[in-house]
Amino acid sequence: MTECPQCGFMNEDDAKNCGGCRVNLYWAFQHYEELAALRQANKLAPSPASASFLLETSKKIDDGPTAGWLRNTIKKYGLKGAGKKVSTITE
Amino acid sequence: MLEVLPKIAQMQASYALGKPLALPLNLTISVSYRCNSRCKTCNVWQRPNDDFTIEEYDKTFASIGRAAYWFTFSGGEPTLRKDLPEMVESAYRHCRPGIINIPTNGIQDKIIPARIERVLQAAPTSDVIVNLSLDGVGEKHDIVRGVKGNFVRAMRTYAGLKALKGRYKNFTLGVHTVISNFNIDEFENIYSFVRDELQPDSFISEIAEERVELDTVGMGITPPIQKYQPVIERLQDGIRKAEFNGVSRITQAFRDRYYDIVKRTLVEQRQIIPCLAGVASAQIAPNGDVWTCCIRAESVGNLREHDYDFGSTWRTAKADELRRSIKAGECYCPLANASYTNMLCHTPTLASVALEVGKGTAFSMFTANHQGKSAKLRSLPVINAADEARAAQDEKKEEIEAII
Repeated sequence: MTECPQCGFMNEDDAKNCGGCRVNLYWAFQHYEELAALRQANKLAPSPASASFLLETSKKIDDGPTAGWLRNTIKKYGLKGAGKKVSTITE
Repeated sequence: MLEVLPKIAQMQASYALGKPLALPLNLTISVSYRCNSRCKTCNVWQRPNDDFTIEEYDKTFASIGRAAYWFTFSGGEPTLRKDLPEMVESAYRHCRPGIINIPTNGIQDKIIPARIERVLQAAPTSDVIVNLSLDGVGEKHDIVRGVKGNFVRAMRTYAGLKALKGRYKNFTLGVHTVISNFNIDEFENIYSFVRDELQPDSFISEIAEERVELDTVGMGITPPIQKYQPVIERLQDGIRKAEFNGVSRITQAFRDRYYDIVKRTLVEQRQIIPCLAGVASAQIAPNGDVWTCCIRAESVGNLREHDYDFGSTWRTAKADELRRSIKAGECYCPLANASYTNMLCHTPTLASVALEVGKGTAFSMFTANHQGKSAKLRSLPVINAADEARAAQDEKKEEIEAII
């Protein structure tokens, strides 16, 4: 299990987005700390209040036709496989 | 540009009815998610790649015909596709758009100018606008964009593109800056650099926002209004102080209003004017999914499953449901692309722009005889403010010397 650096939610190791705050986990491990410091300096809460319609729509991607492919790719290669050719049409 | 006016009435009627009476006049074609940047404000490069072929685009553009006036070929990095000029040629042949907009990160400095030249040749009567992304100056740009040496390469690309200006009258070279929490403190530096050094035909700044397309939801990259407001006011001040001619006067008047909308959207967190995404504007994802917009990135249908018939994809039940949701105000955003179409279809905004442009034109005609050397510079937007100030000073100096 992987803990989200932004909200602390425990995610599966192959999750692309955090199940708690929807943040892209690859991005969060790269940049969250820096952004949290910047947000603090700008007197903002460390975590953003994202619009609910965005959070809901983002969740739908987890059920989309490429979700399985992406999870497996991340699990196998990290994100080295990103951008590779794959069919996005559901059979 | 006047040919858009009858389409506006169709768009307004479609919005009122909740059913499309015509195809959108503003289309964004995302040609690939592949990208050689690793921006701190975008994760689009992680998306799987299932790009349309040129044949698939040709069938799609044929189904759209002369409906769309404004095309944006975006990405990912659109210039990574070798067949970008062929795509533009196909869109031109079938749709004859008035405006073609292409953003670029400028990384492939040895390739991009030649590829854009072929684009310009492929669409000789369209206004082709290429916007170079600039999110910092020097190393700061590289840090935000995640690629070492990006700034130097982008500058080489810019020089290569600028060299095309003399040969292609239909070419507008712009600079586009995304302002996020990562670079907002650098804005003044970026603005001065663009104004004094690059001197592009146009400069637009957009606020970094959370988009489903870019997988940036939950990231908190959007700067707070307290910090963004002075940035917007700086941009608006530049627009209001400069004088423009012809089409530039109209686009700058819309740009000024766009910045007002952004400010209010951030504060009020609602649609400030009705959003016609899903009616007047749409996006085609690289795999043929049709979206009402890239903010929600919800597919209304896939072109491959509709035999590449855009109209059929556009009239699905899912599309109607999304139109209803947007009209009900269940979402809001400051997305520039959709905002310009929204303003065009919003009668009060259109009327106020027409009034302002009319006033400006009358004033220019009245003062035409009093203009000096600096008037020559006034066909260029915002970023020539410094040149104008210098030219005005020189003029005054000459006048004083003449009196003495």
